[in-house]
Amino acid sequence: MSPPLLRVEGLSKRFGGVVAADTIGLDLMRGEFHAVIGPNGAGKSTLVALLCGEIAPEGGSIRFDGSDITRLPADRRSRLGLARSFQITSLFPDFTALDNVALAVQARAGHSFHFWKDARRDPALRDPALTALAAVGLAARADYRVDRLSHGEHRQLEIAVALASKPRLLLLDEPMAGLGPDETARITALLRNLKGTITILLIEHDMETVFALADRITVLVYGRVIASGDPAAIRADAAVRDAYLGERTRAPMPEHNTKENLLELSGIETSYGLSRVLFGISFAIAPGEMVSLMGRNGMGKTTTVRSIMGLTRAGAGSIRFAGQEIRDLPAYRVAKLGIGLVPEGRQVFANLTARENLVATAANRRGAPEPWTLDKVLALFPRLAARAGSMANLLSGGEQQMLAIGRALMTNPRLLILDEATEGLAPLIRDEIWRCLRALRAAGQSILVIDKNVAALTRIADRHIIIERGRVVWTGTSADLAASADVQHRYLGV
Amino acid sequence: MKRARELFRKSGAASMIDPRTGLTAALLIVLALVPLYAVMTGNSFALTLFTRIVIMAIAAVSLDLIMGYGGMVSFGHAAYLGIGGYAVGILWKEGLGSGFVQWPAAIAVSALFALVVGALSLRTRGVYFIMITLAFAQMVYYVAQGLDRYGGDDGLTIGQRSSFSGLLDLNNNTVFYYLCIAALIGSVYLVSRIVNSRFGLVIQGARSNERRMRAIGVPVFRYRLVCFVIAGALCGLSGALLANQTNFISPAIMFWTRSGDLMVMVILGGLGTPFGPVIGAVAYLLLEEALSRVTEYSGLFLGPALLLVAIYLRGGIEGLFRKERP
Repeated sequence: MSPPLLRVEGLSKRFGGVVAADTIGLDLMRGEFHAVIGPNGAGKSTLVALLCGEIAPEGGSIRFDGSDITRLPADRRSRLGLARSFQITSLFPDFTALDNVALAVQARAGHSFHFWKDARRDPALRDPALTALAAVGLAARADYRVDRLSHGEHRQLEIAVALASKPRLLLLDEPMAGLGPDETARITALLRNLKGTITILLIEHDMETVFALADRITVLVYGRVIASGDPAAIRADAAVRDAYLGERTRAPMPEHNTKENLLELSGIETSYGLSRVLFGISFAIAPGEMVSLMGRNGMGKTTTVRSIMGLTRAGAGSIRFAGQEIRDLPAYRVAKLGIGLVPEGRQVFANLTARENLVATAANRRGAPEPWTLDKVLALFPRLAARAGSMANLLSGGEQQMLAIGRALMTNPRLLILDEATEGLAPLIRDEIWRCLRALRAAGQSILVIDKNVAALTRIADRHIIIERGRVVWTGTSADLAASADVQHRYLGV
Repeated sequence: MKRARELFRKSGAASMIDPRTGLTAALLIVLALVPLYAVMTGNSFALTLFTRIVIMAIAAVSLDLIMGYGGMVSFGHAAYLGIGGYAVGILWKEGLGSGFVQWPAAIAVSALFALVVGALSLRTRGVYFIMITLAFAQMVYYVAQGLDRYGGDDGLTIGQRSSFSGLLDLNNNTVFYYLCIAALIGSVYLVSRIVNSRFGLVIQGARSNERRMRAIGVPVFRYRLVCFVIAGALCGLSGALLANQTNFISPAIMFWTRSGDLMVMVILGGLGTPFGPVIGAVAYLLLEEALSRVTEYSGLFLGPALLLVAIYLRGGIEGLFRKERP
């Protein structure tokens, strides 16, 4: 058997307090179609960035075709035959589609110190570029500027650009991100055609695609490889199943509505540029209720939260908070009305101390009969009290998370929203966060929480809402969720 | 025959003259007729003014190559005007009056300076890049102030224009003007060739998305550096012309506000277009001249005009005449 094309050993990388890659080992055989899956924040994109040389690892080695490339810069690796596509479309927006691909052909064709001849009329560049465009089904769009193309076409073009450099190894970082079913099917067909012709490493959340295409699958959780094997073995692996949420679900349940609702969403539709993410989200939260928002990655959970907060404006529908329409309000007004957000990735003010973070936030807060104070927050998070004078960027990931929650509480929120508040944290810290949320809920705080940990959510939340491709597909109580085998069951989750 | 017809169609002439081409042609005709106008009206100042405009347009074209196409916002471009000018002045002072020596020297020294500045500044981005290019330009400014032998702060009066051993008589203002026009047309042509070449596409791609550029295997730094050097050399030539026109060179030409003027010309005319900087230089310098005749506070009117361009005319004046692509 020939040696692997790519051999990764003991690869490690930390970002502040979070371990994004923890002694990752991975072998890619020539011609293999290998998929890497794992929950959000598992370190998949970090792995791609490490492999293509965008960031440097703290430990471990990467060997490509027998030679050590651990320290090579990105452009050298690319010339060795390692091409990538980007999760967030990364093209040349003011170039035409053909120019984008031709530039990749040109980069592969030796140096570009040619100053005179018109590169746009050079058949040595244009012809292979047209071929690559045709391969992804974009030939008719060759002369369109990239910023006039649809999101789906951007994704196709991403692959064309990667293919045009005639790679020996193709790294595809979520090529289906944000695509509708038809476009997903088109890309899947394209990948099926490529399978076997070059070695492919695919990062993808769409499980149907992964199981249909991959020869082998590696599962990452918290930067660690927890399983690696053929699709059947992965499907049967208990640890893998635990890493994901339960199940895809069916018909929406009737909206539960006993009290006057604190928050009411109806028919919310939101897009990022050309890419539609939410297709009419509707749900409600009653005062004192703790509700969870579940679903796979890229299904619209964070976008829902951003739409509520006014960080991304919803194009249609209504969002009522405490009886007031807030859909078109700017984020700072929404915050002042009493919605406190603990954003994904924490986003603490890195150059302020923990104490300053908390105090600064209180400046734009709503009056409340029993306001949150610095002492109350520090009492809730004793661990934070010990480090109140430290700069926020020197806190560990867990401490930063507590700070982010404390900061949201300092606005005296009527509704607290947590987006992936336990992501990337060690189990002990996660337990502490859950303990705090339970205490807050017991004190009557309304909470909307997004999290991957279904077991913990079913223990402490009142109701659950599952979002799939920008639509609410199921709502029910913890008992409903636990009882519904259909919801909890099937492949790795979701 | 078929090929000729195809070329004809591609040029757009079959349907209608591209408004952009029309504007370019009109402006070139006006520029070409300036000496005639000066002779007929006896207004020799018009020729002086337009010679200066044409020379500054060359500098603006060179700045556009790095700023507009390359996204390298250099805030020290006037330094090359001064370096080119001082190369001519110093060589004259030392007894070398030949343009065959002076002009290549102006270009070479400017290129060398650009190489040094670029090698350091291109490792940084954004505000830091702007500050480093500015710092280098100010450094040269103060060095020139200290050159007592060459006039120091007061500047250096250059006794005669560069001699081209009977080939061209630069003392004839009309000849000199047409030489500047030729240099301008040559510069615009050079830049338009460069930006459409493989090299040019790399430069523009790096501006558009540097990360992707690296991902497809292009080491961006060295291309940017070469581009920076080309722009510096071209601006050095414009400095040599400027010193010849005024028979004078002083540190003032390198002051940071001069670099600002050049940036304004490029932005006003249209960033990243071959002819935009020429339009910008003509518009800006004519406006400045006209305003300075009516009011002492020309800046009071120039400022708001630039604000309007920045807010409403993103593509500059040139952008008004551009046809939309699909």
